[in-house]
Amino acid sequence: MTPLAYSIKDLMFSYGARSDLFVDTLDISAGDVVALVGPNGSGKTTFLHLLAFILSPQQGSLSLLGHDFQNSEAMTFRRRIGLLPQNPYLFKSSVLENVMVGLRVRKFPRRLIEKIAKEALSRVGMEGFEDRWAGSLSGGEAQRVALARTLALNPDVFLFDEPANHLDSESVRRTEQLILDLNRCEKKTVIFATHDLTLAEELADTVIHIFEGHVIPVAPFNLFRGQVLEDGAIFDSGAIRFHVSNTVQNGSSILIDPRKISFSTNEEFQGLANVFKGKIISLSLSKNRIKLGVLAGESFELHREFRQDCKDLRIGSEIWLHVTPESITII
Amino acid sequence: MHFLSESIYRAFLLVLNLDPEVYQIVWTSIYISFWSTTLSSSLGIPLGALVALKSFRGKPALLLLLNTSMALPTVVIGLFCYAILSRMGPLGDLGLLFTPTGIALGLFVLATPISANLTVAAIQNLDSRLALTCKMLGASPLQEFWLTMKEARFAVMAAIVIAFGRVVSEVGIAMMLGGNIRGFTRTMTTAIALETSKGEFELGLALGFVLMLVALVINGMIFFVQRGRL
Repeated sequence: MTPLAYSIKDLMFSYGARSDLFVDTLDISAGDVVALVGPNGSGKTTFLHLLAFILSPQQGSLSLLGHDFQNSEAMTFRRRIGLLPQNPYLFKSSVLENVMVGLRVRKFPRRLIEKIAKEALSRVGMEGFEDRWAGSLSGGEAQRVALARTLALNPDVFLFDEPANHLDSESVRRTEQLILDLNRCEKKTVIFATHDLTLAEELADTVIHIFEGHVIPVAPFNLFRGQVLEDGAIFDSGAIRFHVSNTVQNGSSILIDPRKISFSTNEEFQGLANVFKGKIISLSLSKNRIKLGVLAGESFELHREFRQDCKDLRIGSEIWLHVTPESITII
Repeated sequence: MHFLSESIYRAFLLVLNLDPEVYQIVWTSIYISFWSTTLSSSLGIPLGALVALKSFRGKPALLLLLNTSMALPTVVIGLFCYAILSRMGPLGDLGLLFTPTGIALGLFVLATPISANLTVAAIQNLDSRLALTCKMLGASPLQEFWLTMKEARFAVMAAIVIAFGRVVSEVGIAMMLGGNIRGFTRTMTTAIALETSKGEFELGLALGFVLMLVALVINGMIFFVQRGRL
């Protein structure tokens, strides 16, 4: 049986009166790559900070590699984790000093500290920057130095918060490769937060969807608020009426998996339920995957693999969407 | 006009000819300012760090007290210290009144709130991500305190330099607690006040030039410290 990196039960954390994060039961196997996917403000960062033991659960239990977390041992637990925040802070010193500071804090052998730090910088392509003042680095360079500082610590678990943010495409590719290397070559557990479902699916063994502080079974995209009508057969968002299959009497929102929305540039969906005509408002292509933003009464996001029929897609052009009732989740 | 230019000329000669009286006064000023700044920084910086980093009962009251102390008139501090150091006061037996040590103690009272308040501001102005960074690196509370002070070092060094600038240019406390005794407790500011009242502008101006030079050096230090490269 694969040992567990994390075991979570009834974990709750709140910044105020309202529960900001609640996870009932979740196990993360050691040596896995796990993606936390959710929109901004869904609780991904709070979850990562709990997994890094920077925040302490207010209820429930959390264990790391078989050891139950106790508040009094927070520092010991933190030293087994390497967290790369979304917007990392660099100390007012040289690049090399910035990488060495964590090693000093964790009491690595003195004679090895400089060597390890230089190796970590080299790994992120920052060799030659050792003596540069950290404050003079560009945003992308600073992100890479922070990544080197995390790598140098060689923790049991790596936690990355939006690792591809603010990076150019080359650095994104490099970071993705690094995540895979850490996992495949060094057998490290890697957990990263992202709002990019495509990136998550490409890199992760497991994708955990987070929405409004809860783990949910579907990708948290295409959220529409409204009300259930006609004994649960219809969901009215105000702008659109959706036919839904799972008959529930209440629920104030629906989610539609962006991979399960079909589209066509002609009217081939005639006669089907949940067909919406709209216009393409955004379009991006990444690694053979196309991501569309469509305004069709509501604003939809669609993901799918690039095919020949995608060549005709243009921003501003007309498009028909088809949402099967089965792909709609009422929450 | 002729009188003024003549006075300035003579003042320059006093400075350039290394007049022993001028340099005795300058030395006394620097000596007293150095020790009062050292003492006030030794207390004010840790106190400021404690107030900035820790939550405790009475913290708002302490902050209010520190802020109010910054606005205390120097003659009030002088009066208060005079009462303590005079023969009838609680520390009268130490015989510190009208000594350089007595002035240094008064200036210490003046400079400590400055060091403390500027340290509080220095730490409170640090990037909010610093505490998170210390924690995620696994720092102990002591390591976190050390890293925080290291990050605030430029502003804290500026606080020391500002405190020095304040005490070296102070006149009320030096006059009340030092008595302006020639060759013993006469500082640059008390000497300027005395010489001006006597109509002896040359010595007053000469000391004024030195005081301005000291101010220039201090401001130069603040400039480099705040650029973070000293």
